[in-house]
Amino acid sequence: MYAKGEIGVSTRPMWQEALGQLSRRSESCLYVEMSQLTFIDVAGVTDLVMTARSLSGHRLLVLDQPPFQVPRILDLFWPGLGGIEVAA
Amino acid sequence: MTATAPGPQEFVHPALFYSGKQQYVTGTVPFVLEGLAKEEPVAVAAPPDRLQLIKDQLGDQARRVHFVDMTQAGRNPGRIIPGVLRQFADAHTGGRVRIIGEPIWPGRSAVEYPACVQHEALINEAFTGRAVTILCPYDVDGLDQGVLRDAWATHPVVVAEGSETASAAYSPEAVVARYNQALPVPPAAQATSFEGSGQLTAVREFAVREGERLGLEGARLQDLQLAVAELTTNSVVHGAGDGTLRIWAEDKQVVCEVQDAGRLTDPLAGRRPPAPERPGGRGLLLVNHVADLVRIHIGEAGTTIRFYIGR
Repeated sequence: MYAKGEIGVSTRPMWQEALGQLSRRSESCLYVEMSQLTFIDVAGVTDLVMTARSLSGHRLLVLDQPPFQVPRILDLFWPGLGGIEVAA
Repeated sequence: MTATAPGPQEFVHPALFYSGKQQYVTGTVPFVLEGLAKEEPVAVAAPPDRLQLIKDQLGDQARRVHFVDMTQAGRNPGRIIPGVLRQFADAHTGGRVRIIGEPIWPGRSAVEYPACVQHEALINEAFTGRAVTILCPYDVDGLDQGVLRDAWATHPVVVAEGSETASAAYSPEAVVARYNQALPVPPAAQATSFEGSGQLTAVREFAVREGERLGLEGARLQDLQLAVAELTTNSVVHGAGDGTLRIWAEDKQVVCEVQDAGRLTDPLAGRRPPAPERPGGRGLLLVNHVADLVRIHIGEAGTTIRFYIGR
């Protein structure tokens, strides 16, 4: 999945919908390509975490080149969270 | 130290008035040792020189104590409850948890102090009904008389020179209200108004431009951006739908505030760590974590949340 632009209160419903679709796919690694994302707020990162937590078994959410907000918010609120991986 | 053992779910919050290193040690070290003897988890959050005094006395026992540099972790008083006190207490449920928390030291600035004393007052509400003891040392030689008077109002009990006195002046809600002070804006502030979610990007970009011009860079500029996004989004979603952002510099810090017509009614907003699985409620908490100081004024016309970031 490719995310582009920014994730905030206006784009959040679309973001949640897209993450919901992604999590229903059967692959063990689910990729979100984020290099074209310019900004994501706390609620948007929370959606990523909730998606990762909902994955069964050893499935993994891989965040490819996320903007700085993602590691900053993950470190603050979910340090050491499993099921989610940041690829720089 | 306490004459009677606290009830199993009773929060205990004494202030310790100390003069000099010897009184500091005799007021804190037995409190730590008593906790260790009872197998209670013990944390000490204080300025580094104070931590060292306690470590020196504890020797090998210091390994069993969690030490926190309060001048860093508690630089912004608004994050002490979630980031220091509850972080430790919530990780050790089951029995009583013991913490020494020294949030007010000589050198706290006049602009920090109202947030410090409101924090001390709000601890009482934040820990009501929990098996936690938080001992708060106050340096009587270095702090103003007014600070010590406030400590009588924010702590139900004061310990001085080994004896414990119930405080007749205990009144934490009155302290929170008294320090809910209007926040004057300097003439140099740059301001912009915003309305609706469609203008959130523009107001955030305005803040980043100004922050950069005022000397913020790197991680601090990014933290400004995050904090602005959360506060302005709150104004649009939970407030009146619109608001004003102002930004300027004071000494070594960039100061930014968001004002809206909403009323923040929960005094513990931004101080509760939400459960990891909870989907929302982290906006103001984030601001508390990234800023060096957060001041809040709730007035007739609405709410102002002002935060400081070092440049």
